[in-house]
Amino acid sequence: MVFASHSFLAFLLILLLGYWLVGRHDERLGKPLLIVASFVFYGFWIPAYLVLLIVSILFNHAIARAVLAGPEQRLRRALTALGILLNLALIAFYKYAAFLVESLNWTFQTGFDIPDIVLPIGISFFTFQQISLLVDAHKGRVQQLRFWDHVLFISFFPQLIAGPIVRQHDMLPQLATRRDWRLRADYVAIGIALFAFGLFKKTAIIDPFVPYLDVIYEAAAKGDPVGFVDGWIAGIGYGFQVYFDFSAYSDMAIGLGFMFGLRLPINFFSPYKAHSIRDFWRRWHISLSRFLRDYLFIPLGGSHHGMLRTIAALMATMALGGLWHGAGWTFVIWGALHGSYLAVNHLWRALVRRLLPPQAETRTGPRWPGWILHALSVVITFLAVSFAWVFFRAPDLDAAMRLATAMLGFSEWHEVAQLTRGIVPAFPIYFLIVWLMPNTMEIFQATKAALHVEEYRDGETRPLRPGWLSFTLNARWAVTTAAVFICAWFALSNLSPFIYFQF
Amino acid sequence: MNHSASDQSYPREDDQQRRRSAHRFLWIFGSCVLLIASVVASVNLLAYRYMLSDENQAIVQLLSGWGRIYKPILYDEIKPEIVVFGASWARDAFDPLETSRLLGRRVFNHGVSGGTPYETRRFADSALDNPNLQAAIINLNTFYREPNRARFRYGFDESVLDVDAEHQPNRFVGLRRAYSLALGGWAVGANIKLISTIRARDRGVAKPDYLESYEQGDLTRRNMKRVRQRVFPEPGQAQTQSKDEWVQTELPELSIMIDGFCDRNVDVYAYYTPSHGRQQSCDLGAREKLATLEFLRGKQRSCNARIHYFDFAYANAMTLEGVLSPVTASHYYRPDGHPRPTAGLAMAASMFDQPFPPDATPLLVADFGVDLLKQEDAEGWLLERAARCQGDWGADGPGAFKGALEQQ
Repeated sequence: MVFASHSFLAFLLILLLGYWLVGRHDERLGKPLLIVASFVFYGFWIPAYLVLLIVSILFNHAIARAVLAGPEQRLRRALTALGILLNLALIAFYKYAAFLVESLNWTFQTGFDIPDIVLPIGISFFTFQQISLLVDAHKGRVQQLRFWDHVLFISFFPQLIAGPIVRQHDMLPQLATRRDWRLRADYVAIGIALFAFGLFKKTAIIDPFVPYLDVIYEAAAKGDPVGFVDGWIAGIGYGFQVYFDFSAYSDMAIGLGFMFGLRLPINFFSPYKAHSIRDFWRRWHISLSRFLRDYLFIPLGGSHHGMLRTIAALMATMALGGLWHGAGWTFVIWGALHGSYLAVNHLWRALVRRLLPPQAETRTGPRWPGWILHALSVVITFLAVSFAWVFFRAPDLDAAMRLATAMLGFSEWHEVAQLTRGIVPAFPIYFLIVWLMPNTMEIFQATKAALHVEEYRDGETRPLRPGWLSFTLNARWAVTTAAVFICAWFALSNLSPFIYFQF
Repeated sequence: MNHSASDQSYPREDDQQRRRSAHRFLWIFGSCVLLIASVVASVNLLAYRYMLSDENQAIVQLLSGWGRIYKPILYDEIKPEIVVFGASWARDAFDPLETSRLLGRRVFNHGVSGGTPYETRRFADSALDNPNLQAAIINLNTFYREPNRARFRYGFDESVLDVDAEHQPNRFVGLRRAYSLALGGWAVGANIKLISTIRARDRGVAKPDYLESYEQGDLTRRNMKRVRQRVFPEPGQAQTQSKDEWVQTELPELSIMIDGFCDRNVDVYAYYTPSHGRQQSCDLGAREKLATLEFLRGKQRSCNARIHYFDFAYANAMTLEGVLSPVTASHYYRPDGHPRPTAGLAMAASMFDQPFPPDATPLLVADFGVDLLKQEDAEGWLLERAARCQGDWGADGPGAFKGALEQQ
């Protein structure tokens, strides 16, 4: 079920009503109802894959309990390794089997049949959550793991199929300590507002313009020539698409979670305001970045074993991160490109540290040179990220290369179709939103609807200034939310599903 | 609610003020949503009654922007005898009221802005279940040119069509249509535009000032010299190159569409738009049209109904309007070059063998398309007319035609 659909709105309305009714009867019944609703939500797509989800939960719960109870370190390590391997095997079978066979056929000119496997929705997300739980259990970071808490931790529908990737320490304590599962008016109100703003981002801001971009990517896939301008429209436009689409989903997920009194972690914090690629990955798909950092980059050596090892770890982490997004070489190249950007960033910072005195390095601020440098850094980062997006979006490597060479100016002047320019008038609005406006997490910070927001505002806990930008439970915001929701609802029509549903 | 110790910042449950504010917030939010939704739904449903009125059909069907949703719904209400399919080139060309008057049968214009081959075929799929339907007019330009475009455009919703892509009946069509009519985003915009257009008409505003399809292009602004030099070159200056280098030979959507009409015994009138000489008409050479001829001949062999093929896109009295003498308010073309409904009437007259409208010049009446599937030497006819755009007017030369064109 897609959040931006009439069927989901109906589902949510019924669930809220049912949740309110059972809460009146018994304050503990909310939790089982959420589990049932999450299973219904997941099974709505292909009911058979609900079995897969349940088996995954049962298996990982058994392993995690054994790890937690295991007296011997070696046994616990072996059990953790087995659990991780089987989780990876599951995702490898469903997500990467066809890709592996295809790559084998291409490399060794073999003729193995390419398996036709339907990818269970959200498998990448819930498998990563299971792996993080096992690792944390092994490292003694899990204080308490009760079965039904585990079930809800994995299956909770707002985050089940496209994240945020919730870590056990963010969710399990909330589930373990909560006694009263009744609806609370303030949570519902704030959750509805976040959901409405997310829905608006998707249905009203970006989706009407997506077909213009599709034309360019389809042309590139067909082998038609693509010019410099169309290439950059494709890169920048898709950057906006994936940002508004996925951040919209995250806003909606956080809002939905909060409606039922559960806080999910922040997932986006104005990534296109990043002044370096390192800063970008601090702000983009935060839950994935943190997962990759803690469970891949640091175990691979992190940044404490010399520059060469750091760069190798970065490249491996980002390439695998790319592969996580999709089974294709375009995703690997997208990840590797970001890995190389990060490597350049590390080298640059090392060079600056060596060449400039410490006070010079830290001298940034609103003064003229600092301001210009900051703006320039933001633009360069944005262009580098936009360039990489074509590999993420292009349907195959040839199309991606065609677009990339066009963006680098190695193509003839050519206009794919007049139609493609239809998105350009929207670009100034998009730039205004991503570069100059506060993000939803800042606007909603005072509500405490999402976890870890303060970290991204440099520890600032006070609401956003000016005050009218900060969401408050007052009449003005109620009317604004209603207007936003109505616009989003009216715009709800045959939309493309969220991009991250496919990962 | 008791949360973990580490979660200090969780909102406090005992904040009564916050709860009161939340209740007020929810009440205002819910009231606003219900109020706006009710008002919008009421206005939209009232406007829909307006849409069904015969006298408003020209406005409803010629308005741009929202046809993807409401045209399939209106079509099922109206159940016309003749339906026009295509993109905006077709949408702007056929005024349903005027064309109905000319042909004596009820005409529905199903053209939509930027209509893609897939969308057009799907509209046709949905239109088949109409016992009144006798003929379908199909704009071939929709299927040939601009290969680089999306399969469908924003606002196209297959769930409001009668059948799905595999021709199986769609479920809950009535419910989806009711929702789209009452609360679809298109409905709000369409109705605002519709009501303001109807009010303009009722105030007695001239048609070109309230109906976009009737707007008149200024044929003095664009450089006509290039077309003139190409079509009527000075001796020894004739060009030989043709832009018709690429010919699309596979037309899967058009093929499915025609098969559907053939199965239902619905006559097909396929045509090339008489775009102005400065636009596509003189860019289309003969190869594409010959390929179309073969394609349609093949279709006719297995078709129960009659297929007709008309080419209007060549150098003729319509497509050369303003080329010899400046025209400030075009009779046949809109500012963006789309044919106006005046051109549509001439096309309908030619296709259905009806008298041309009184404003048509004798030069146009004498040479404006023939049914190429009935024509003995269709290839010769096409080649001869395509050659005109290269300045080749045969043995007699352009003299007679040029003189008549100057006088019209």
